[in-house]
Amino acid sequence: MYSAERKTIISILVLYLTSTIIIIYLLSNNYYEHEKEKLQLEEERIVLGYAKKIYNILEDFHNKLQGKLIYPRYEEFNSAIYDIDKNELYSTLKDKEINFDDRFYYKGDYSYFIYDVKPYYMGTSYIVIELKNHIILKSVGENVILLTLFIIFIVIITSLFLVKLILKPLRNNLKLLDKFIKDTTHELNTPISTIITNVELLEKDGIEEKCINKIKRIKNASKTISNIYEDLVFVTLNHKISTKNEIIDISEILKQRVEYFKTLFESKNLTVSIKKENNSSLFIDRNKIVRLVDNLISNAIKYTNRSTHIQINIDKNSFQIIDSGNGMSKKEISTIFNRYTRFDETQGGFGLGYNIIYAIVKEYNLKIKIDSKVNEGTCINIYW
Amino acid sequence: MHKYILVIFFFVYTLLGSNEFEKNCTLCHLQDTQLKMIMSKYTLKFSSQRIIENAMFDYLKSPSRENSAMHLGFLNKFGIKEKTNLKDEELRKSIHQYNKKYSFTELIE
Repeated sequence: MYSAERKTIISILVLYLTSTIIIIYLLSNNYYEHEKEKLQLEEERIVLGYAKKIYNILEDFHNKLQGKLIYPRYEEFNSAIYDIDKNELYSTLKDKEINFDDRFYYKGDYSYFIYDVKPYYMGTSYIVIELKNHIILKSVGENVILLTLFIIFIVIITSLFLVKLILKPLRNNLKLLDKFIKDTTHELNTPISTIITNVELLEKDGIEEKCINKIKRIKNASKTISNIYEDLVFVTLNHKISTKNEIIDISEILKQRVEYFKTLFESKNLTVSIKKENNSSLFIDRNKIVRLVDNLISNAIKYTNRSTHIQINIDKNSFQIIDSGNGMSKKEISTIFNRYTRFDETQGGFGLGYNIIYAIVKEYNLKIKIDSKVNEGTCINIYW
Repeated sequence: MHKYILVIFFFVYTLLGSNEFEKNCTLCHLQDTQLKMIMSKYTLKFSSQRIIENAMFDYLKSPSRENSAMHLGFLNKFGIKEKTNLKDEELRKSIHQYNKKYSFTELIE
């Protein structure tokens, strides 16, 4: 799976799931609240009966005033009576801390119903009924949660399937492009090698003065194709080329590659200087560091202005390539590592360079910092 | 001699043992039922001991039909009580002792 594809799938999934979960939550919450209200109304009707029962007993005793009042106790509920100042007159409640602000509330395993009464028989202004929470309500809540989880699970499966279905044409196109590049790459190797070898042989044999420039151009073009070929091999093999890590002298590699691109520098009238602050080495595969450096240098050549200067700085744990080119905006920098990204269509290439750079940087836990200003230039800093 | 000692003893006992309520109220309100009925009316109308005591105090300081807890028939038949001459502190003590003794809360168990 391509990283862009994975990103798209994740973004769509997050968006789709979030909106679905919000809707499911609202619906299930609504259903739960509706059921709760229904049960509550039914319960309230019953509890009102309980309160009336107590009130009648209080009224009866108050009017007769004979002996002592044995406060009524019931199995179905607990109760308490309070005066107008909320002083407890008598209580059989489990929890005696009553919230008089609400006329109904849940606390722990109990629900509480508070009734205001008048006249104040036996001084009673409030009757509080304590009832064990409804088991049906609990089971409704549990069922709603289970159902919600089940629906979310189904939605995840469906959305995954849908996203794959939507992305299928895009994926097929990318596969086709990759297959084309793979096939082309396979056919390119022999002719490029033949051209470069023969050009070098021609240079050795000595050529006429008027042909020197033409041969140089052929050599440059061949090197550019060769560079693209190496990039394509790297990408199409998904970076799974055989790796042989060794300690590489960075300054030596940079000097070699600058020498390799010498004719390309000359073609744009560019000057290059390498400033070495300290010896620098890195434990890395030679081919991969060459691909990294080649891509950085070829990008610098491509995007820098004619007759300018490219500065390469080497320090103990870093190297920098600074050009005086068009530079990049912040938005461009944010997409630079995506495959097939090209900012200037007039320049050659497939837009693989920074994708390869990023893959190698990531594989060897290196760090890359891009400082760029539009119309001023770019400084690429690789450090470890 | 024994007779005198006994008389003095009862005199001292009555003077020291009786509280403000008994001293100031029970001379007129002799019947227990009557006191219970008054408490019943006040409890029914005012609910808490604090409010009952305040209402009784207000009524006894300036009795009127408006601040009486008794129903109209009772007031028509017996009229309004005369204003008390007791000092505020003593009156409050008497009312409090009456409330303690006849509180309906004590009747619930």
